[in-house]
Amino acid sequence: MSHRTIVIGLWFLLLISALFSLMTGPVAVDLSGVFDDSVASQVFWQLRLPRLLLTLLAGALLAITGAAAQSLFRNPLADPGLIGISAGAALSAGGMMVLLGSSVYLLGGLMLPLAAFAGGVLTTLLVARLSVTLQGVSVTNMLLCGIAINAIALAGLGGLKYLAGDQQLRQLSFWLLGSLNHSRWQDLLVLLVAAVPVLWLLPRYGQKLNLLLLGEQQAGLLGLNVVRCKRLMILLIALGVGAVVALTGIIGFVGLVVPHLVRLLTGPDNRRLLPLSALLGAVLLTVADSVSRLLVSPAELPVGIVTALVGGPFFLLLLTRRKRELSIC
Amino acid sequence: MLTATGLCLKRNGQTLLDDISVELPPGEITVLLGPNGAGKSTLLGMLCGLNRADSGRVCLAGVELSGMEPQLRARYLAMYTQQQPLNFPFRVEEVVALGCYPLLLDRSATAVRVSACLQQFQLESLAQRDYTSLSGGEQQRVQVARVLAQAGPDCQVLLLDEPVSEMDLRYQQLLLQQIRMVAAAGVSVCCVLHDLNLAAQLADRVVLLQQGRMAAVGPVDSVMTERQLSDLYQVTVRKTDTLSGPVFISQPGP
Repeated sequence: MSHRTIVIGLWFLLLISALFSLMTGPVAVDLSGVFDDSVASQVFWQLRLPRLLLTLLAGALLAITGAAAQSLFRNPLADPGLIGISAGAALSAGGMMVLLGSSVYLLGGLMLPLAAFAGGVLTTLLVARLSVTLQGVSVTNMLLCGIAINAIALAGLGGLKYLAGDQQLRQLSFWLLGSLNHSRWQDLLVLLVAAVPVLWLLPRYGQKLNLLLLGEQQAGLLGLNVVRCKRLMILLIALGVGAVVALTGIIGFVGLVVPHLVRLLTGPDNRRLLPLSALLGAVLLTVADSVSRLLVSPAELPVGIVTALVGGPFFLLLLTRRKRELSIC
Repeated sequence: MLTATGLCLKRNGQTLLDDISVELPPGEITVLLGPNGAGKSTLLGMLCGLNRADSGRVCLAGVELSGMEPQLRARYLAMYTQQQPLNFPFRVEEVVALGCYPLLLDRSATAVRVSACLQQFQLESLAQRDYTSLSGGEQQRVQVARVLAQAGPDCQVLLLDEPVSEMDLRYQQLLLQQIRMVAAAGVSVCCVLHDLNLAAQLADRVVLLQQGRMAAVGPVDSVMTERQLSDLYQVTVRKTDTLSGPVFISQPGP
């Protein structure tokens, strides 16, 4: 399959899944009636459209940061969730939610996103700081730090559940499972602030990430400023993941599965991998969101449950395949 | 000309390099010999400008290497390292093409250079293969080809850390031939080898390294003697002169 065919195919899938997502749900929306003064029109403008756009951006961001992280760590199993960014962001926002109670909705609802974003950035800086060794930034140390921070953050979140009131508990649980419910236009604006630099800059670093795949020393010998490049990649990944976690909670496996699928299609070249991952991530999260609304309609499942139910088995499949490859060696 | 003066390096109380000064003149092939842990790779790591010694300087044509813009340095200096951690399924030609990165070539010029390099190492038939599916020796040929692809018209220094360790005899000789060609174009070459016979065939000059110190420097005949080598490796080394050059045999015991 040529690169061109794949790109056109993905855009086509994006269009179909977007239209499907706009029209499905408890209220039937006919696209010809969205400019009327009807209930359907209100549902379209106030609920469906902001939700779709948020979903597209969140899917694209999760997938492209996942692809970038995998190249940065030279490990196809690395996922931003792995280095603790998602958990750190979630702990920070969860703490804010429980401690501030109802006053968390001050500042036009920006408190939670800001807290989650700050938590994500702080966690990343902490991991980056702890993983600096005499020989430079060690990827192994970084992954181990991420594991420790994940454990601490999840324990903290577990503790918060005991402090939380009834309403907060419900909100906290829903959010921890990852949900695109209650997407509003102002959320979209917050996400755009993160999405524009991430989606614009990361694809421009495709070839540099390719060099990093050769090894950090080899990349340095080929003329890459390794320290500067890694620092920028870490910041962009933290920005993208932090913003998505702030607005949707923890949606797992998109960042892990999508880059794998794209690599099967086009190979590991980051110049293609990064933009195509963003496209496929947007498609898959949109489909998952539609499924989560259809399965138990008129209620809905947190989308994180759907992505985990599909992504989990896929991850296990990858591990068994890896084991087989290793045993052949 | 690459000149290193007074390189010293200590880590955890251990002296890795002890006051090493060495010059790599253009067009000359210097072979580094020494037992495991003598500091050969450490020294190359300093000579390439990526790592800094505790004291001492490494200069290329009078300019300190570690202060040079990375992309510019990559055009002047190419290096093959022992560890090649690539584990993503790139095609062989894609790996070699990454070597052209600092040369700033356009797409068609890159393709021409890549296919020339593949041809030099008789890798044409593997060009479309998945790198991770290759044997150790084949992977080494691909990585060496990538490094030589980097050694473009501006290249002044080529450093090679055990580049033939996994190659069969045929590709060992092929690589020695390529290295001689690069040197003939005026590039300073420094190569770490463990095979004394290959070292004697390749070297214009030999540096013996022992516990971070330079034990001897000079042409093959004066440095690669039975006594020097037996002392260096703590085994008995016998040297026989033949019509096609010296032949070395090692035996157990000092």
